[in-house]
Amino acid sequence: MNNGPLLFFGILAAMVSSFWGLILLPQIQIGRQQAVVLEDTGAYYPAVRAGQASQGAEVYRSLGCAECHSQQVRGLGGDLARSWGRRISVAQDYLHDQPVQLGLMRIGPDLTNVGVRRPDTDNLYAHLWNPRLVMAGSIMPRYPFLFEQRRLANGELRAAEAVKFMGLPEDLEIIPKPEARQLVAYLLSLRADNELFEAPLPAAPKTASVGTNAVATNASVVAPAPTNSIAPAK
Amino acid sequence: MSKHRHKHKPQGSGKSGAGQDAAGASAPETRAARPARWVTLSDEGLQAPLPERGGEPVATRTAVPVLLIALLGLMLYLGDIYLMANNGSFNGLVFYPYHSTNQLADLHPKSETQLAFEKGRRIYRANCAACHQESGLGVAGQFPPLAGSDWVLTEGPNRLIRLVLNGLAGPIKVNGQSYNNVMVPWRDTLQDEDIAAVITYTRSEWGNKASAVPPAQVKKVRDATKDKAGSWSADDLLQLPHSD
Amino acid sequence: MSAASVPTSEREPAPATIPAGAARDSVIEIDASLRWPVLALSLGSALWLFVGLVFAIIGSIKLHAPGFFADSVMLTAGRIRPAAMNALVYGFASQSALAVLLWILSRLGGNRFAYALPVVIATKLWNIGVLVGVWAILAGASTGFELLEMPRYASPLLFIAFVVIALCAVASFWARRVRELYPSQWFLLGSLFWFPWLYSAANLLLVVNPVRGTMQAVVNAWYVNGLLGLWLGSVALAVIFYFLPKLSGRPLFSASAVALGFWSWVVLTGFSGLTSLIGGPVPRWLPALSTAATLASLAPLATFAFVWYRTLAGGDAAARGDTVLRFMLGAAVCFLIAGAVKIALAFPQVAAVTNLTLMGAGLKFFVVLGFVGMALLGGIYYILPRVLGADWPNAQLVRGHFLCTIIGVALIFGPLALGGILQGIKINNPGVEYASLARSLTPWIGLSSLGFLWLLAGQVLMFLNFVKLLRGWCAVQCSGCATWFEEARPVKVGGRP
Repeated sequence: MNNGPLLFFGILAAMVSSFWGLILLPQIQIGRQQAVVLEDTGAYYPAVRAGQASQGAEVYRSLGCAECHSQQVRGLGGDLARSWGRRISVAQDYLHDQPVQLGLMRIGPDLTNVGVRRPDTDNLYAHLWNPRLVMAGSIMPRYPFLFEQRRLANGELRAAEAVKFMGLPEDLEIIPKPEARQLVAYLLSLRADNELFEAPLPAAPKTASVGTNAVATNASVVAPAPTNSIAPAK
Repeated sequence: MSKHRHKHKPQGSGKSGAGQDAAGASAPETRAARPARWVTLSDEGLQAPLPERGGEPVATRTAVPVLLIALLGLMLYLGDIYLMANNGSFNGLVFYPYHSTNQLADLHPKSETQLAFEKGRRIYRANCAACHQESGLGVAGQFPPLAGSDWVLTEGPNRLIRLVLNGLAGPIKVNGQSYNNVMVPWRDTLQDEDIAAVITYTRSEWGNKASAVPPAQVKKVRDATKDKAGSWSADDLLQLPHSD
Repeated sequence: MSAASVPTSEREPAPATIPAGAARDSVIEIDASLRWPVLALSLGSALWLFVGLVFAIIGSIKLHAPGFFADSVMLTAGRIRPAAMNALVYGFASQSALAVLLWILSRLGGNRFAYALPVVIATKLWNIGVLVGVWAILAGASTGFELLEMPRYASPLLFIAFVVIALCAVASFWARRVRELYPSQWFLLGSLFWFPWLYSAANLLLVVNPVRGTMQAVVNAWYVNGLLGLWLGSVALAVIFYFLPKLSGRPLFSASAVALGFWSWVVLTGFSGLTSLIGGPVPRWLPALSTAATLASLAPLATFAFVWYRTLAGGDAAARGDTVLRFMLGAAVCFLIAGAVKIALAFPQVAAVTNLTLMGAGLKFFVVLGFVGMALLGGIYYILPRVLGADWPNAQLVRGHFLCTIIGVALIFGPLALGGILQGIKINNPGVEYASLARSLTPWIGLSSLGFLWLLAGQVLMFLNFVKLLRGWCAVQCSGCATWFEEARPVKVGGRP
């Protein structure tokens, strides 16, 4: 191998083959996916995030939440059994995400359907302000910089926009900054549980066994599919 | 092993020693040609470099052990086998753990109509397509079309069910064209479910859009016309309402 | 370190491998021509290694002690961790890779390096780029793509700087005196080409003109694998293939076996990036293709191991004490372990447990700091004294750094891998409540924090040695500096203090 040009050709070919196989081919295959119309509701899926929710995606990216939280329900492992979603995640679900944040690690739980599993706004605010208030022993860091916090004078009432959460100290007023509102709006918008052709809802017996392990708040996630909304197959 | 060791001694530092001598000779020009701060070493540095260990490395020309080539071949083969078993038909809609779009289609709960439609297609292809064709277009002048036919797309299937049960003979006008041929009766060949399925199929295939026909309705007509002898004529059928 | 060298008189002249009429430049000239590029690159890389390790320690501690620096938005775990990885990969590893690459290419080519100035300027640009990029990540401007977090105002600086250095390196390679190629040069030439392709393609497809949906995850996984394998990995392998025979005093076993390993490794690594997406929202055939390629990469792994074994077997006993050789052996062992672990993790049954756990982070640190880091540190330890013309003042500190590195890397990877497996098993058991699951990870993450501390301690040792070395060298170089360092005595060049 003393022929420089030939060596370079091989080096080039190795890169080109990798690029074609892993980038160009899949781009041709799934790169041009479009939103589909759901049969039961007639709505486009996935919906474009608007307003605060789309700004919240930026907060999610900026704070690096994906370092510890995933956004994918895999077709293997305990993902479905933990009722992180009632079906697997597929490419269609991420069509409008920029950037797509599938996540690096699961130090915390998956958030694919957190908008369904934890629909309580104040609960989410409290969780961001101090996770230990909501979940004892959580190792998630606090995000106090997302909130304005103030001690209340004796007998003073909390402002209307302050976080209402039972575990908060009586004399503490916590007001979410815009970033917190956006982030929570984004979290509430996270939902990917409608049936698609490529992601059928698991058969009933399996869903039932999932239900026994599910936390009470997840009841809506494991409820059987009301309708069949089948996207046209290719 | 030891053979190679003797044959392919690395380039000794005799070489680099010689290089040092040459450098010693050429060093003054080198220094003169360059800005002093950039590349020159002190005289001490030039004369006493760090001991070089064995010169530049060289590689022996021993042939590749065959076992290594065989291992590469084996691993590529195993990798291929894995890929063949797990490629999800190379389809962009197939995600782990599914294998193909057919499997996905089977996993979706099907409505009665869908099942009837598929059953009807099987029956149609076995019994009807010989005359009416798979395309549903019939044969010009001999067998009337079903696709877009004014006889098929009636609001109710009353006449259609009778026609299939007892057959039809004589002149008939379909979409303005006249035909004169014989359609055999299917009363004794096909069950209620089969007739319902095949009529459902003809009423929703080829761009046809008309209501499905439940088996109960076929049974009702069958009971009502159980004494009918012979085939229908088009005129008789047109006397009847198309729906109850 | 150099004390272990074998007296020159014991060596026979090598077989004539250099064509007549193409005399090499002397090693002194070659080393001297690379002084400023290597100095600039290795100084930058040492500083970034320090910064990266400090960040990594903070990021690691934050995972087991969430109250640590909790009020600082810049130091939140989601920012400090990618900042650490970027500092380590682009600041430390890539820069020392470039330093070692330039030196090895020049040495093997037998020609002086004629482009010192552009390389030094490009190095400054690279460092500015990394600084801007890391700062931007801490400030929240991350792009959100793993190892591509640097925003679009930082990444072009890196790209331009790299292209300048790569062009200089290729031009120097083109003008080499020794036409015959040694295996290290294959790897180095490839890496010079692969990094710009990977970096520009990934930035174009993710940041500038983003592809849609999970194609982003595909491009990202492809890039991370290529960056660690084809860029840093190639350079590290080149370094191992250069120094193992050189320092053990044995010829490299079978150029053709290395060629077989090289081509199969390059092609298979190119396809093996998507195993991190097994079971995820990408078409099933993509990770399956990567699994097949990863599985097959057992062959090049075995080939390299065999070549290294045959090269070292029966080598000089005296050479075994050499710290640089130990660094190389450590790197080689890390390469083989990382490769074997990757193969194991490529099976869906295993990935179901290990993907998206601490294992992934552990493996990346292991590759960057163990395999790549040890090879490059060893290379720097060999090269710096030669381009400066002054040996490390304290060989004990070098040995100390090696020990710290071994302990640190083992403490990072071992606990994270084990903890990752346990984490995966618990995640897959829906009966385990998540908060307690996460809490059970903290001892493992704590151990890895200790590992980073060991690495940092080793880094401090290197820094001490480095400062001494520079001071002694300055004193030798210009009498003017001697007044600055009053206590500095001229170091005997080439000798031990």
